[in-house]
Amino acid sequence: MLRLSDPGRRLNAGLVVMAFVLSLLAGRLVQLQGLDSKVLQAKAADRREQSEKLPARRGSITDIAGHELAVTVEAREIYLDPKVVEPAKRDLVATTLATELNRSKEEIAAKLAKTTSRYAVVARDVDPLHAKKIMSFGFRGVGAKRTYYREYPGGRLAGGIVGFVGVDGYGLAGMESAFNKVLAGRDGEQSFETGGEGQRIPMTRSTRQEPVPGRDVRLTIDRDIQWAAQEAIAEQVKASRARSGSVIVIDVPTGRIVAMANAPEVDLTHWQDSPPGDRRNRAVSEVFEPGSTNKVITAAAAIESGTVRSDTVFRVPDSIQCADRRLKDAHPHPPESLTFAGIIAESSNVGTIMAAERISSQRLYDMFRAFGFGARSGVGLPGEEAGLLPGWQGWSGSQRCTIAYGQGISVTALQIASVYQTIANGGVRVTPTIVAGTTDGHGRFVPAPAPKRTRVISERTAREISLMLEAAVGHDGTGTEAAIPGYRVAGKTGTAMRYDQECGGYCGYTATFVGFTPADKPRLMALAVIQDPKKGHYGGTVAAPVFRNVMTFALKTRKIPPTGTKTPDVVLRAHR
Amino acid sequence: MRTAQQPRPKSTFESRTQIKTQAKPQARTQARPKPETRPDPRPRREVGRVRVTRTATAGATAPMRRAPRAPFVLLVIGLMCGGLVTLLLLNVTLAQGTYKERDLRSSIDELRQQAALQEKQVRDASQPEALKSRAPSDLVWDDSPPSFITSRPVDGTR
Repeated sequence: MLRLSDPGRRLNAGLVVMAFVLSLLAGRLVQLQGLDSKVLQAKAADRREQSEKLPARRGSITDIAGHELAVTVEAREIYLDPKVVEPAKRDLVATTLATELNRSKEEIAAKLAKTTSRYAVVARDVDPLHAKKIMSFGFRGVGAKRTYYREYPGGRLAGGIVGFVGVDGYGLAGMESAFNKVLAGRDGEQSFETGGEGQRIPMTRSTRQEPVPGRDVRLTIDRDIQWAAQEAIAEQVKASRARSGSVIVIDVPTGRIVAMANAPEVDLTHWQDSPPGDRRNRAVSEVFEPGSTNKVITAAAAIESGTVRSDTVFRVPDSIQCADRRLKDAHPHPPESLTFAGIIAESSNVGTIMAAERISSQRLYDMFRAFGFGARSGVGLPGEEAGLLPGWQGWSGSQRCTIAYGQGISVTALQIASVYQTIANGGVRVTPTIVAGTTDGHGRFVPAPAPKRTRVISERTAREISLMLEAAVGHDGTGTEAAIPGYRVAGKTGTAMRYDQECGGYCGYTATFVGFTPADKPRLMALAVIQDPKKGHYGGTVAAPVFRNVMTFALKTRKIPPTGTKTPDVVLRAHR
Repeated sequence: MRTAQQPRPKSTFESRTQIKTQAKPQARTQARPKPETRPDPRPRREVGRVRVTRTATAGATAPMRRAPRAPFVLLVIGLMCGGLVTLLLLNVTLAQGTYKERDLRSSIDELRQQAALQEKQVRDASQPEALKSRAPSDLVWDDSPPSFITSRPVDGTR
């Protein structure tokens, strides 16, 4: 046995013990500072360093006056970390969050019960001040994460045009989708070292890459006229128990779309609740047979060929044999001596076929193409259809006749609107535009490139057709419901048989009215189209009132005065 | 223990050994001529040697007053403490600045959020639908044609 009474031995023993202890410490030191140092440093850095994505603010979509149709606002995402929430307080947390966020308590309690989960979203798009109030309760395991929220202040206003974004903020429809790259910007990133309470530790390493905010897109839409158009079409669709409807208003000299409304229109705030069919922009995506509104193209082709003038007289019966089919006018009538202006004003199918017989199929086809049929308009709206225009070589005997008055081809509402814009603009087609411009990186407005201008028909032909269309809104025309007292209005009704895939043939009608004002110096054109109305089906009774209401509102909003000129007399009937 | 007569080892501890040796008075008198005959080629060793010499002289003759070290040491300690305190204060100030910055940022954020909320209220209130709901019922939809006042009678205007 070791005797420790000897101080020398005691000292030696102490020394050994100390050496042993010190060697343990030294070993640990070597392990921490040498062997594991890098791992430990990385772990420490992980705890201190906060790295976060800095989301870029998405650009706004505004109307022509800068009113926001879609805007990004700051918001908070309230989340739970169920593992951290104290079991005793779960009920209190669930009750409080349910009350504050207007959610069901059971839903939150179920999320809290999943203690294996570390992140459960309770609510998105919460107002920051409201989120602050929730955080002030001081519940452990309840957090608020900074996010952005896409707000559509108008709800349904211009829903089909503006479109919407998904949960991830990516544009899914409309301009949100078409201009996603411009609007989105580029996310940034930052990392810095923080203390226990989240405050930054001074003089420590930090990196920051600033996000690049998205650019704004300014549309040519006028918010107020858009709203009036939506109200008018929604009301008429409901009143006529129709399936759907669209209204387009275009500024004639510039080709800018002032309003493009649909009914039903998607509610952008709750777009998920709308049926997929209602989320699209019908004015550019729904094709239909245009009917009598198409007669102006036949008229333009006939007049341009020099074979027909507005005062050329035709002896028009109420039906005509065309190949294997007998084609009729809308109403039976004895044979009448109508001028070509009268044929257009009274919308005679037989008279139009007779005029079309004087020109070749190719000439008629070329005129359709020149007016933009069978091709996308160039407006750049997503989901736009080109319509259906069969090549003239393939036209059957009766098809040549029906195409003359707008049956047997398919177009979009915008394509018809563009035809009337061309006539109103003295025969010059201006590619319809919906984007006025975007902002650059410094927030300065950069106008969109000028739209393409193409002469389709001569100014003289355009003027002649314009007078014929004015007669169509006059006393003997089919579009008297579209007349606006004090203004010269030119327009055309359309009542086409509607091809319905569901019934596998022609079921119901498409009622249309399209026109422009003032007729002698056009400023605005408008189109109203109503699909499958059950209560009335003529364009002159169902669609013309919508045109009148929208055009009246637009004239007042734009403060467009009447020209003060008198409508010249147009001979519609010849007395032989 | 070596004496002055012993051969000097050529080690790096040469002067230290010499100091120890010379500290004894008997050996000091015998050791004095050595440096003159064998000058040390290394200047750094010279200092130690001169010191030793001076000490020896002081011991033999009148004692020389040594320059007091305490003020110098105090000065150095003072400077170091001052530097340390300054550094500490600087750090504290910076940290305080960080806290203040955080508070100010938080305050700015809150103000910005309040502004955003008010902008939203204005935006919502100025929507056509909201204006319609607030407008008198007879003005909600006035579909009468526009009227214009003209300076001269013009056909077709009212």
